[in-house]
Amino acid sequence: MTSAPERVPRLLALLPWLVANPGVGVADAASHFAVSERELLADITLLTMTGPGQYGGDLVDVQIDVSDQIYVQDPQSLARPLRLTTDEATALLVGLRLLGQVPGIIDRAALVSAEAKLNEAVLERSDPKVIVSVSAVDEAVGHAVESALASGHVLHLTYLGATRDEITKRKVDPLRLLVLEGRSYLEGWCHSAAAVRTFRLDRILAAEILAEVAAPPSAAGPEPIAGRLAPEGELVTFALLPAGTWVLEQIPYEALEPGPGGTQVVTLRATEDVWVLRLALALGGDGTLLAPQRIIQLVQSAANVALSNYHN
Amino acid sequence: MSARRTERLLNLVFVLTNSQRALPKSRLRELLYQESASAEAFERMFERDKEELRGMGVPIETVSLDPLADDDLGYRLAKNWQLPDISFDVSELAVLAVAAAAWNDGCLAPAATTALRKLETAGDRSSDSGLPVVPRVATADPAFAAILAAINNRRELHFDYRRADADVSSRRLHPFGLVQRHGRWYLVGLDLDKGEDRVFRLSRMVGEPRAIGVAGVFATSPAVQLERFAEDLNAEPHSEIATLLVAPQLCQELRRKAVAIRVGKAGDEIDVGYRDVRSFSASLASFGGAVTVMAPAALRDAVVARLVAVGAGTEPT
Repeated sequence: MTSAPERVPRLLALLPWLVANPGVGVADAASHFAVSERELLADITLLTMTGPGQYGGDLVDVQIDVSDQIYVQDPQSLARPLRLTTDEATALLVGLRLLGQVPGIIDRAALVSAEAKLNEAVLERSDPKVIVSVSAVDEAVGHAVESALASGHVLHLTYLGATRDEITKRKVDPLRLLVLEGRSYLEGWCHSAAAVRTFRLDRILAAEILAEVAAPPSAAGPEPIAGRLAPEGELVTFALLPAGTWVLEQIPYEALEPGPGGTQVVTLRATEDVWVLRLALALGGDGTLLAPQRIIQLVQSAANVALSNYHN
Repeated sequence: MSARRTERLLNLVFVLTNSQRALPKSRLRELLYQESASAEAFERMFERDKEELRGMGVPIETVSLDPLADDDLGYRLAKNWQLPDISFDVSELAVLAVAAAAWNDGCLAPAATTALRKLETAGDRSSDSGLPVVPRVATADPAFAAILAAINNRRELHFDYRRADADVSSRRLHPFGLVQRHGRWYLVGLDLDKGEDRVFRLSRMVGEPRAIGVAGVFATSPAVQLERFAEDLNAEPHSEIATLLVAPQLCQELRRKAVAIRVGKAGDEIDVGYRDVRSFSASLASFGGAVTVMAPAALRDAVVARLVAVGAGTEPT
């Protein structure tokens, strides 16, 4: 069941919502409130036991007909919802401001008017206490991505792959825009990889809209939003000194346990050797790669090649 | 919370919304708390219920029913408890739905869902927005909810904090707001020991932050101040300039940040701004032999030290 502090606010929102949506199905209402059908029915049963008094006419009356459609006969004094709480207003406001910073086919006028009306709907108006900023994107790139998503055309991208330190050109059928961890990404079907790929917008050096209409394979649906490390990646282990624990703040990991000499041993997954190599080089003495052995040797030789630059 | 208590809380809301005037405590007891055996038990239950509902945003006001007797208290809802007569069109609800989805699994997810359901009653019914935009506000930091509550209630906050050099110390703060940049959360507030505004990374807090004392101990900080901190975090002023020798066609990320590029035969010499030797030397070391630091010496030494630590080689001569 739902944890305690969530249920009362949900019940208080559910009743007016049912009033506003007469005849809504049990399944629809449940998924809309992100609860199971059983929980929703329990909520409705509980509502019908409440009201300003204890007798028939003083109780909420909700009927569910044979085809599972819900009708509120008497909502008592809760035909309309309570105003938004601070947390509720914050949640929506932060989301709106996030969208306002992102290129994409977002209706700007709707963003502005929705925020204005949101401010009318709060109990106590106050300045926002939570600010989320998204990295700026080159205007021309943002515009091209936005137009291609809207019109369904293929994009020709010049893309900087930071891990491999290479600039590639590729054709991409745009699928959708993601905003994760303060950065915008284009998800699309990459023609050269023949797979769904994610491109950081601030690493797209140029984007050109082609006349070709995007036709991603029907199986190329949106990928589940996962961390940056693929679950099928190879297991990699580092021993981190305190000065190297920034890794834990930036990279999702599988396991963490105390190691010898005040170190923390972190296990993570990686799909590319070069990614692990560069992380090991960046850590320097602040962390030591323990496995796999193959990459340990790569790291040593890369460091020695780099050091030879300084010998002259 | 038991179903019985949930029911009682809802009944309390109904009784209050249904009444034109403030209700005396005795009347509330009669209506809703017949089960409570003693006056003491009733007081305890009622106080808890009232505070819990207030915490959920139900605006219960306490008023004095008799100007001559302070202890004759009555309760009512704030006049503006009900959602005003506004209406949202389909495109407004669509952007609100995408905005609410940003909290997907974050700590404000239930609040976002409830808020959206409330507003939908004042608008055209919409299904999924269909907008090809998926924003996510990551709030993996376990401390987020506790910190946000302390900010909203304006309570003093105590926590242990690990600096970049791994030194851990206790901090006392008047927390003003949370700012996220590059997916990292920062807490902005008045550091009570330092006597000035400071910024803290949530990921460097050690253990659970603790809200101390009563609510409302400081005035809310104006939005401009928090926005200014957000801008400062974004501005990342470069205090130093490094001169680097980069291999042809390589170090593309560094080339993009360069303020000057001098093309050469063996490679290109570029000038790149940076702020912090520790983090910039780590970034440079990750390019291996593709980059050589020409100046300044402190940065060069830091990169060499990192390479020596992982290489099997000897100190450069």
